Amino acid sequence: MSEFYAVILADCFDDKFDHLTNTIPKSLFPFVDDLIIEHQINWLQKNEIDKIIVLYRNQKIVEYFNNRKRPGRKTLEIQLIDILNSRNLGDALRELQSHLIIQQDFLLLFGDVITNISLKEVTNKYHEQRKQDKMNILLMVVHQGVQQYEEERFLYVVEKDDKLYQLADLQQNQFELNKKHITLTKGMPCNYVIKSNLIESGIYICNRDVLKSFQEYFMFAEIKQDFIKYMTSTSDIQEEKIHLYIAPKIQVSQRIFHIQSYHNACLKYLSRFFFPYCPSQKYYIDFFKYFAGKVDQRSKVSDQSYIGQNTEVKSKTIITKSIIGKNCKIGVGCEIVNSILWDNIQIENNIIIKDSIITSGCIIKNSIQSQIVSTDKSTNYQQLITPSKYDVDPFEFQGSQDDSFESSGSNQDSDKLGSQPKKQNFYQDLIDDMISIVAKCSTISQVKEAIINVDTIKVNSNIPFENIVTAFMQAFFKILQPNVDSLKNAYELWQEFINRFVSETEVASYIKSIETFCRQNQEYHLNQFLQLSYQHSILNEQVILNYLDQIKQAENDQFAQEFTETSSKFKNYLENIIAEQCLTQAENQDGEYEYEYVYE
Amino acid sequence: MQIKYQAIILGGGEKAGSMLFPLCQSFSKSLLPISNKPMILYQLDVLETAGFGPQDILILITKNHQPVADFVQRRAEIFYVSDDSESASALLEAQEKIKKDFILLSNDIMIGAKILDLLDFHYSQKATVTCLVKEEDLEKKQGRGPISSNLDKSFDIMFIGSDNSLLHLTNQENENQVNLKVSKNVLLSCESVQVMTNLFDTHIYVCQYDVLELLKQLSKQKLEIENWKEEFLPFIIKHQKNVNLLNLISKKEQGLFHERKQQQFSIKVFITQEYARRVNNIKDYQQANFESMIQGEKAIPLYQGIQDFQNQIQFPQDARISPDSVIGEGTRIGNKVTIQRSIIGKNCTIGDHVKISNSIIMKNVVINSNCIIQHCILSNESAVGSATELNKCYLGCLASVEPSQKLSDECIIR
Repeated sequence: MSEFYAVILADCFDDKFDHLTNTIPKSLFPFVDDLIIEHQINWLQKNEIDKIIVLYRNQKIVEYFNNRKRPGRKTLEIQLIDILNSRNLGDALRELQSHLIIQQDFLLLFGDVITNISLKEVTNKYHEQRKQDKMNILLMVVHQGVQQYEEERFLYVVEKDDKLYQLADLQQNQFELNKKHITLTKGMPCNYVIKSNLIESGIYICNRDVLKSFQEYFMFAEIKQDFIKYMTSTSDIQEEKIHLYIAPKIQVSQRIFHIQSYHNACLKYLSRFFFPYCPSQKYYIDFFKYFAGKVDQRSKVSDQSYIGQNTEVKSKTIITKSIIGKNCKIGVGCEIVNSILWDNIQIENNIIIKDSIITSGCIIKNSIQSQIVSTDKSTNYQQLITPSKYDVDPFEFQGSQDDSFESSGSNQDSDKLGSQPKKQNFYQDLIDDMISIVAKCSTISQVKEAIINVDTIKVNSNIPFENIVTAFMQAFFKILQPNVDSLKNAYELWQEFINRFVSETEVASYIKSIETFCRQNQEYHLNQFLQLSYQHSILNEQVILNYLDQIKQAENDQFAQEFTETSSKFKNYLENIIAEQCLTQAENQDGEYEYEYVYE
Repeated sequence: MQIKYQAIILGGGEKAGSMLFPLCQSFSKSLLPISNKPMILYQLDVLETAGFGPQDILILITKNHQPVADFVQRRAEIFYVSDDSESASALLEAQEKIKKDFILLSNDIMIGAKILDLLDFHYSQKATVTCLVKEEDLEKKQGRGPISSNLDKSFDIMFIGSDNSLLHLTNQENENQVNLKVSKNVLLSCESVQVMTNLFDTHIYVCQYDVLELLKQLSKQKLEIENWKEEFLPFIIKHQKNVNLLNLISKKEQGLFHERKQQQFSIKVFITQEYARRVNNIKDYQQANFESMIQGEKAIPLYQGIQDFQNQIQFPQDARISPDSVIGEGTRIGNKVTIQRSIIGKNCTIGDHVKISNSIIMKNVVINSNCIIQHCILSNESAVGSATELNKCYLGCLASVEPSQKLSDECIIR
């Protein structure tokens, strides 16, 4: 165990908790009685792993660890490594590799995993597998359960000895068994089992070779989609092997992908699913209600709730399945349902809070006027932003049952201003580079070289696609001349390049840059650009129609109105095509329905 | 149990016996004897032990199989279907005669499993269709390798879920054409799904009455579904979880959740380890006959009844007949005859100095003297001239071989 490192990826690369993770990384979220990262460190210590490497992007983690004092625990070795501008797991691992700390096996842990899986068995199995075959490089820990969330839904095709043969996500309707390495002979006992009751736990025991492969194939971004998929399906010889460790039924884990799973994980923790990791015994426990604060007798607290230290809950308040942190003050007659409240929150009287997360330091006041502001990413849950105090006018007690609230300005502007000038300079460099590349190319093979060049630039400097597209369009416009033939030739030449870099998310900026260009130079017609783009399959029908509708609604814009007139024919043509497609689709539909995942 | 089910035996259509050339040229496959007992009697006996009476058994045959009808007239009901129908369309034609849940058998299956267990399983699982499959294990063990229940090269690949449901079925004849795409909804309905290649489908299916409804509806929709095993069964397996299919069967509204759950379409598999063999090609036919001759410890219970009834017939002292051969009544055996591991039917005449080994000889066959017959099948009323050597030859009905010939690997018909 002495050389065994644990690598915690203390940040997430997706945007589910965007409003919150802008300031605090996910590992520093409070989870019932402590922070997530503390839970993980506790778990690692109990499993006798003392060397921990934390990969971080946000400086808050450094501050936190500098100020961390935990009396009575063994000394740990915690190294913090900055992963700079990594945008995905692959980049983070490459950064880690460049520090050359890890010489042998390590345990990779995502920063949002709460678990009670005992690592002793896992490491034993891993060492056994290594003895048998040096090519066993990854041991993926899974546990059994019902796959609840979209992110958990995978089909695991497992061979004997728990070797993972294929990992299929359930995006498409059909599952296809990979035929490359399969041997089906008559009469042999069964080799392959397809399991759908396994859930990935976010714990991987990897060999140093894993880091090396990430470095070799620098397009690898994620473990499941890229690395495992490559190792199990696309490589010609299945040399490297990936095994599964299926934890026994009492050992579970929960990853916190989004708000639902966050809340669910908290409830599971309170119901002692993760035994022996449970809320501390020093709080008053009454059958899974933990409260250490002062709760008035006339309030009702349901089970699976948690009320932190020094929190005051006044009378006639109903708290259902919620988690409330320390030092909060909750007024009279409130109703808090299925919510997570962090620390230092003041809530006044007669307020309903449902299905929400309220972060530290908020004050929620009551007033007669109700005002509901919704954030753009809300589905059923809405997210609050951070820590500064602000004045909010929520709803009245009598009626509304909506989920709230509010957003406010925060003190982030200063940060942004500071970094902007740097970005602009960098951007100008990119445009110059692009112009020089574009000017040189005049044949299709040169264009292919250009694609490779731009690819390398992108990966080396971690530029988002959007910047590349805008820079390229600037360069592209420079080589055009105001007649149709020149346009056609240019599109023919650059078709592959544009297709490579303009995908669904960059389409908006692509069209926008064309539009601004046409507004500035009257000789070019937006129509022609759109038609050529459609012809070369850069834009599809729906996108163009949406854009046309949008521009139609722009008032007081002569350019827009002229454009709408000239493009009406094209619009009709596209609409016809879409109508035809709908017809053929309706004929081919199968009427599959979602099966309810209930195992009897 | 017998009140609830009706047995339907697919007695034989146009294509029956096509792989058994030349034995079935003018002879019904159902009447081919195994150990001197016609195949169809095996099925009728198995059904009788399970409690099916003559009114519960329905045999579907085409008009050119009239002899079968005459043979079984008192033990079952006969229904004639049109000449060019296949298994599924034959069922459709007989639909008025089918009134309850039914069990569908093919006429060439020899099974040792108990039908009652199968029916119990079907009822308890509330399945729509239950298939009886035999699990075999062909891994090389010490000594002789085990023999499969089906000596064809083709086998089925089945995806079996953890609750014994059949989630996917393909037949693999050609390595490169395996299609292993399964719909996601179907796969997710069970926790773990095994991919099995060692299950032999015995072509015995227990079905609910709704399946007949389904066949009717599908034929109305002009989907060409003629053959049960090759078309209908894969079709319903593939669309098990498809709402449209369920709607075809039941007309009442899918109301409450628990009612809906009970009406779900499920295809289950009953795995047995007992003896099973499907006799639809020559190798299997020979193998079945050989298995019927095994006596002692490894004897197969299905054939034991026949061995007990073997009559003692008289044969001269110098005839050497191995103890596991079966000789029918009325057969006259000449001098210095050697018979090894063979089955000889009734009323045969065997001349002097004849050596017969590993052969199957049916009724009324005349074998003249000095013949050597090895690994052959001689059908009814055939004749073999004297001093002939036959090796791996198959003779059809009323065929004859001229004297003093040496034939090998031939099929001789009249």
